[in-house]
Amino acid sequence: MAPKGRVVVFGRGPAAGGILRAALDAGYRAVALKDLRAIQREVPDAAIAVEASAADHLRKREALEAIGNALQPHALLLADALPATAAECAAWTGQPRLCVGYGVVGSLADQRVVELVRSPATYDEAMEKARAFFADLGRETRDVGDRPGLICGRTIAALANEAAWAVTHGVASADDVDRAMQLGTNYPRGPLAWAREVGVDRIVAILENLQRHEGEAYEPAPLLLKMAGKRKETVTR
Amino acid sequence: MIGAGTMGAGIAASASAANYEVYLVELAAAARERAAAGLTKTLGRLLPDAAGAEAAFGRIRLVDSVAQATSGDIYIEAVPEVLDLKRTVFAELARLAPAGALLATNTSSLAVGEIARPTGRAQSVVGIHFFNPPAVMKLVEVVRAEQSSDESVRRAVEFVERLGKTPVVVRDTPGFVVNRVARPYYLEALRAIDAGAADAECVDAVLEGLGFKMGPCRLMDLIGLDVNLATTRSVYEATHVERLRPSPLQERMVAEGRLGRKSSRGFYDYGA
Ligand SMILES: NC(=O)c1ccc[n+]([C@@H]2O[C@H](COP(=O)([O-])OP(=O)(O)OC[C@H]3O[C@@H](n4cnc5c(N)ncnc54)[C@H](O)[C@@H]3O)[C@@H](O)[C@H]2O)c1
Repeated sequence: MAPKGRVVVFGRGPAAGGILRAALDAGYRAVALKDLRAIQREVPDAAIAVEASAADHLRKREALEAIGNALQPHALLLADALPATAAECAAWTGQPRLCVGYGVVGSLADQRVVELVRSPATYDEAMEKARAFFADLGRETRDVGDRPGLICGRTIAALANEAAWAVTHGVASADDVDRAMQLGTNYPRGPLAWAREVGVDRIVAILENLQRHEGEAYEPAPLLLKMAGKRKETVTR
Repeated sequence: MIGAGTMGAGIAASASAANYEVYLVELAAAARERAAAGLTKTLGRLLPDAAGAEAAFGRIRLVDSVAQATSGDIYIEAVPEVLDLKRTVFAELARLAPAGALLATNTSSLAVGEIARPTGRAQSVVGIHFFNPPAVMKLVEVVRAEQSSDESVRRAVEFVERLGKTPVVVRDTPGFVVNRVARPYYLEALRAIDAGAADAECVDAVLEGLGFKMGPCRLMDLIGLDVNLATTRSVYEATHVERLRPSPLQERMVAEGRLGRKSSRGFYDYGA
């Protein structure tokens, strides 16, 4: 078997860590990249560059631009398509043909199926490489349309948001809401505990992406902003 | 226990299995017969020891009016989800139940405070909201209405604990916790499908791949799309928050009679 290509994973959260571990386990030479300098140094040697930035939109854009700049013409760029659409991510990279969006909410270890999404410019070949990569990591893939949050992100984020609104409205305490949801439904985790596991800032970023594209219905509850350490913007639009 | 349908019979079984003496009040003779058969089966499952199950069955008296059950400590209403019906029952309870009795409703979507209104003793009224099937599901939402006394809430919690279940105290708001917080599980799937992002099978595969026991579309087919939509509607109509607005896709499917398993067709086909 030919040696597997080099994989670089940019980011810090559970999503980045999970993909890195799975790639190493699958026999890839994989390294984590923490900053822009590491991107400039490592991406030119990479067959697959995975972007899994923290939530912040500006930093995500910066990272995707840097990765796009350093990317080899035959490499694959996998962009985290939960806090921004695949079309947005692809445009930021400047290499939209090589860019495929993917959906991993928390750790890949907890996710058996990975959504893939193309931008209008993505090559078929890039899609095939993306499918092969995740198949190699033992994951099923599904092609989905480029809607904000994809399916995994919008579901987990909207559940956490409704749970947070319920707490905000005094329906029950946060712990009781989680306990009720775990005992009363078929969910593997309480929505708020799940949000903490994924990273509340990431949940907020997914909601803000939904809010930008689909309207105020996705406004993050004050409790989530508080948990994420963010203050509610008071600027009127 | 008032009403011996799906919920009432199951709750009665749980209570008698926990050593309560139960009067099970049911108007319809056919429902009483069905309940008697159901009780035997449920108690057999709850209490594997045959003598114990038989004794528990003996602790339940099936009667046809509240007038035959006027010495209760706890009254739980589980008649159909119609406000007027429930109010009639609660007016009757106010006349016939002892002054110190705890009066509870198993409503899923009506306001407990509204149901309590004709009693003139709203401090004694709470919600005790079981989940289906009640003999199996551990969670019970104890609903504190605006006028429910602390003592009433405490007694409801104690009762639920004695049944070996887990009470969670919630405020009297639309959908309480579970039926409200679960809405996005269905709504986000419906919205993604309606937007053409994925089909039902794909949505279910992705979410089952995240650890949900049943994807939202398979689950709606099981529950019945009409029943699921009615829950969303009742929460939406009581809150009018955009987040919880019912899905036009689901409304179309219900209008077309695509209700899920019970109509052989929902998101999936189930043969004729
Ligand atoms: N089925 C569920 O999944 C579920 C879950 C949680 C809560 N609930 C709630 O529980 C309540 C009962 O639901 P269900 O599914 O058991 O209904 P059901 O239709 O199976 O049973 C209701 C029973 O009440 C009887 N009844 C009607 N009027 C009566 C009266 N005045 N006195 C005595 N009996 C009377 C009916 O003959 C019927 O047998 C509803 O409020 C419902 O919203 C249902």
